[in-house]
Amino acid sequence: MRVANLNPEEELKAIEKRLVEIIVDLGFLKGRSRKTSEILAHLYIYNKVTQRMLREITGYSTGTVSSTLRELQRLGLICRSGDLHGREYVYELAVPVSQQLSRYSGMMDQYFRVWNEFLERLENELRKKQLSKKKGADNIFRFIEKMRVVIQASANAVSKLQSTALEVQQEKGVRRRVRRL
Amino acid sequence: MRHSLEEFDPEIRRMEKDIVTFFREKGAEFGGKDPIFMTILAYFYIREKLTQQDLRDLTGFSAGTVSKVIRQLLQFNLITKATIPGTHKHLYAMEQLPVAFSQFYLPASRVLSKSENELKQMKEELTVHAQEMQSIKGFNEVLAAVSLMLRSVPLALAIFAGIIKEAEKHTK
Repeated sequence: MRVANLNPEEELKAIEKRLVEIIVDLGFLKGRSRKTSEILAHLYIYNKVTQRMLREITGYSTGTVSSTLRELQRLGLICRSGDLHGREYVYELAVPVSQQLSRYSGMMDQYFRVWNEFLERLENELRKKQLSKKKGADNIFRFIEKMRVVIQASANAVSKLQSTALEVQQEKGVRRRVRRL
Repeated sequence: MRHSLEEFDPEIRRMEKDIVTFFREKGAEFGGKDPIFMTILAYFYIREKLTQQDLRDLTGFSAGTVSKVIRQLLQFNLITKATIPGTHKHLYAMEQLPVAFSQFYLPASRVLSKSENELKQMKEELTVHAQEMQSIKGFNEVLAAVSLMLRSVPLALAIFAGIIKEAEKHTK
């Protein structure tokens, strides 16, 4: 989809814009607003940004940029550093992009574990305190049942993928060794 | 079809609030999901059928916030919309599992596939024009971001496909 008559600089800008749009689309799947995704996108691309940079690139107001950054910081997605010698704060991703993938798959097991523990605790509470007949208890029981399906299905899918990834890695290792011979 | 929000027993209501908090916090902590979106999604998981007014009462969110999230959930096919007869009000219902799974993950997979194709195109354009572009500020950064996303999108697609398959097993 190359637009004719663009100089290289404009073309690079156009590609960057498309990249931001993709990140916005994917952000919708996580329930993120366009604003939030746009600002995150520039953090993905540039690693370190200042409020001024973000204002210039996105065209958002000082208030919008700073409140979105505050929210992202509160969520633990980004962190703030700097302000040395009265200069601007520098914002960066809490986990560098290059590490997000491996960190994410490591976190998944923990995620499933905390969910299962939580569901068990809920179920015990309902039974122990004899709340089973109370109004709304059925909803909680159904919730537990549903989440167990969700968590189980996700855990199976992820563990299958992890074992495939491991096989691929081992296979690559074998191939590399073969090539060396 | 009359609708009124069911009043839960106070102890159950307290548990419900715990669930919503857990849902919201873990979604943000592990998936970077939006907390407001997760709060409303949690209530749908528990209450299954809700009006926008119900959600305002349960969450304390403004009408604008609630209607924005409802639009997103409808767009993702996670909920359906029906008019309450004799009124202008709408009742939103969460789909049953695993229908909800495939209805969310199939379109989500399409979004991902589309993104993957476009990222491939972009990478090609960047590679083809590397010589003219590489001295421009931002080239390396954009190329690195595109390449990295191209590595992670297939992984997410594989997880989505796996989840749909696993969830289908539970219908049997």
